[in-house]
Amino acid sequence: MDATARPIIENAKLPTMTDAVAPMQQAPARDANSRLMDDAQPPLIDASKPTMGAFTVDQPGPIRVIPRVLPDQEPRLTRAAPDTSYVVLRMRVQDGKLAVIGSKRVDGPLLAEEEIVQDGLTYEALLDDKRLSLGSVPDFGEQRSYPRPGTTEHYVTVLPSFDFNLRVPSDRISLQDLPKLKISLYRFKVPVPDLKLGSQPLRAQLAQEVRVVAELNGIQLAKLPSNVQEVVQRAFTR
Amino acid sequence: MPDHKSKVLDQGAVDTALHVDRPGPMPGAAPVTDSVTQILSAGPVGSKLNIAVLGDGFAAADQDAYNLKVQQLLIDGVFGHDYFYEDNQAFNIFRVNLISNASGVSTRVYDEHGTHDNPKDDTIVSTTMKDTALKYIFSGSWAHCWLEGTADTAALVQAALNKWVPDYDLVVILLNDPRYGGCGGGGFQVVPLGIGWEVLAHEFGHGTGGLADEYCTSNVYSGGEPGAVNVTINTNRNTLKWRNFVNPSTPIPTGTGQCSGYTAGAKPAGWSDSQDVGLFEGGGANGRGMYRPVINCRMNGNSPEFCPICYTTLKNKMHPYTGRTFLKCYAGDFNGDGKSDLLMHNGNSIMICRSNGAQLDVVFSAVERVPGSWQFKPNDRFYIGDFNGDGKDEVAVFNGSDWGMEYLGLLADDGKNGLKLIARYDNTMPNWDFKKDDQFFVADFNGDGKKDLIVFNGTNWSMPYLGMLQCSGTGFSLVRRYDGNFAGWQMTAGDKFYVGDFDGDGKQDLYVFNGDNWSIPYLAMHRSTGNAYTMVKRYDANLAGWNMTKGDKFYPGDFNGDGKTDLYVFNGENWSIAYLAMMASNGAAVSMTRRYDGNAPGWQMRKNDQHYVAEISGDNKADLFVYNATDWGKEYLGTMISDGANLACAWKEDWVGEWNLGSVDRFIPCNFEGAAGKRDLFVHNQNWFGMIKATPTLTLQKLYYKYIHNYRYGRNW
Repeated sequence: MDATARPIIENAKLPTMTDAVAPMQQAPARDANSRLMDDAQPPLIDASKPTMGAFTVDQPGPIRVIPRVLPDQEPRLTRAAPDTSYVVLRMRVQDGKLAVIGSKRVDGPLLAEEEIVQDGLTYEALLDDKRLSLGSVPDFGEQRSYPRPGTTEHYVTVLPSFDFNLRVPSDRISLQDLPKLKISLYRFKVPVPDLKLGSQPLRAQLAQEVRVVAELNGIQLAKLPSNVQEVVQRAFTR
Repeated sequence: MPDHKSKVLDQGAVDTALHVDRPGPMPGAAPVTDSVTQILSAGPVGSKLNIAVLGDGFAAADQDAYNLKVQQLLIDGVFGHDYFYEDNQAFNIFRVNLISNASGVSTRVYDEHGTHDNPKDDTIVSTTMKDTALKYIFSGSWAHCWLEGTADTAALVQAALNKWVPDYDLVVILLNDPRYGGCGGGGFQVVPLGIGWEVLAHEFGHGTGGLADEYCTSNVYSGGEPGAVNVTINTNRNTLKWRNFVNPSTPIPTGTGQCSGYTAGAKPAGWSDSQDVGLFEGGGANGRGMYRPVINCRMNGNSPEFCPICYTTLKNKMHPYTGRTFLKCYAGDFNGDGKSDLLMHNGNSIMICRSNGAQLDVVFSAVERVPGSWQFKPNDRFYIGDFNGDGKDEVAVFNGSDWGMEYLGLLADDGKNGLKLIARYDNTMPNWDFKKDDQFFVADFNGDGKKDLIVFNGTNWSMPYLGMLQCSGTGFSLVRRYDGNFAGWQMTAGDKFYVGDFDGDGKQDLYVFNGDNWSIPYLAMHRSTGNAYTMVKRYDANLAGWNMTKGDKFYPGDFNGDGKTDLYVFNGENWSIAYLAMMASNGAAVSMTRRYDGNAPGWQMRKNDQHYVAEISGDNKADLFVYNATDWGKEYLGTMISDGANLACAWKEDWVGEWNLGSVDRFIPCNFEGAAGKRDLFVHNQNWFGMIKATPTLTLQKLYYKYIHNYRYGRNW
């Protein structure tokens, strides 16, 4: 930028303002093609659109006391959105094994987790070695008594088992896929600074950094307790 | 036609109706059967972190008390303070009302045999069972986690969650027992009534961010580096995981010895035990061998705010769940201290950040609605102005597309740094039916010191309409409507309106331009009489020596300081070179004071120059900020200072301090310093927000990434 330079010609095909003849001196002829404001008659009515009602000065004043809490604003009616639901699998971890103990379909959308809590556990669900979902289990495996008044210390009890919720988008897995669903629960052996997760399975990407805590290779519906079978079936059936 | 469904609250109604501390649905009548109520509604459960609250031992008659306790602990407590308040947009809270047959929970008495820390030798003295929804037993024994479930409890809890809560990440179970205690873990917290919200917030630190405890015991740690972000064994300043938050003048380690405080010399004046970061021995439930970042964080003593490390971890973890960006920002002085604050809108939330002249601090965070109520949506359009003349800015808000009908609301100071709705118009108000393309302009057209609204719609009706919505301070009324013709001006869809008091009588007038809908461009000056407009001048094609063309851009501002709003006119697209003119108003007409052809003194004009009216030099003459991100190899941000008849320009290239100018940047002239005029800029894009001062030269005052927070040392990038 140099403000002392000659003005930059943005478009040489256009005139300068100085060169232009003042439009007032060459006002368009009032022929059929010209449209000047002076010519305009009272508003042209576009009959395809409604007209606002007449302005009346004797309308009731607008300041009126109405119920103290207003009703909710009225939702817009919309067409049914595409199915973005997801399925929650309630998982139990015990002795290095994973088991499904419950399931539920939930209206979506499901947000993919971006920041893994490395101090917790991380689950990954794979179908045909492609990641369905990944998430953190930040608080697991222990119960803590609240500190006694005037102190800050928990009494910590390590639990023999713990549960967590695993989520998978329902449009990417069906009931028939469950035997192929592979679920792994990892811990980070060493913290990974500035972790950026790629699309490949966690174990392939971070072979040195993560360790398997528990795994489940396929969900065999018939082997689940009947009450769990029922809810899993319902959750994965559209 | 107008169906008089307008809903307006008078001042008195609001005062008695809205005494809730934080946004959220008003408590309803206590339920008599099991039910669920969403008390924090941030969005779809799959894109938020969901908290379920259950009650045990609350009979039908106890439900009001239960609701109140949930409000106190969760909404007013955890989500009424610091981190969780700021990021309430990331959370849903479902309050489940379970009706127990008995009031109060079962209790158990242990004989601890004098060993309070060892449960192994404890024996049960007595158990008093009650018929409650979840069958918890409160014992008050610390080593027994204060409480325990029965054999049925886990299944009852799971059944209640499955039935009433769509999805959950964290669960709080409130026991109807007045004593202190609580048991946490696995995302669950089971607590009696005698606890404060601070301990819950501490536990949420575990459950949300995987944060480690920072408190100490007598243990001596001898293991490897822990994975948690907020404890370490590393004493090397250069590799310390929170080194970015440690002031170079702070010794490392800062404190040594059993559960140390500041031992490396005298604690500096002004040191904050929760916000100044160092390296203090003791943490992770160890007294020695492991270090924590601050003397006392919420993960240590419960009551202090989260330390910068824990806070940043929570913010980073939850930022995607908030869905926040800096794209929709507005400046306004919401507390009347003369400094421009920031209002941020994201989807269904707003946030107000207060300026102290040098930085912004979050003072208000509302999700889903504010009391009144106004429910926020992505297409809410905000109009800032002092609509009640109290010296503070209010917010008029319109939504014409996200609901089943159009809504106009007026939000005013709630007396607690936030906003509440004081008037709402649903679909229509007397003499005006709202439509989706209604355009609003803030203007005090009657000169009473209260901003009013001009509303124009040129597309949704059979003819264009313009209305004058006078503000009483508590609501709007339409005092005049123009149907098709606007005081001698034939309105068409392409009309563009510019507000300014061009005759200096205190009533804001209108300039109207149309370059699209006629054979020649027109500009008119419409003077406000207080409740109507009269056209005092119309320019047909030629504006006092300026050949108007369709690409003309008008910027109203009193550039000569005579109290009358003048016009800057710029055209960069319809001529071979760019032009900028200064058109002075005498109240009845404008005359050209100066025209710059291609160059202004100190600024080489280009076709894509963007201008923003400001008042940079504090001399009561309107100046311009100017920005060009497309016509040069680098971006330029400049100032164009008016002396009344001429402009003097200066600029910065590519960077303003640490702000890397880019094509996505948006600018808002403002006055965050509280100095005379309007000499500052808010600059923002998706993830970055900056505060730029123009005096004495363009400099960056403050830079924020992803969220507004001021660290005592360091930053989150």
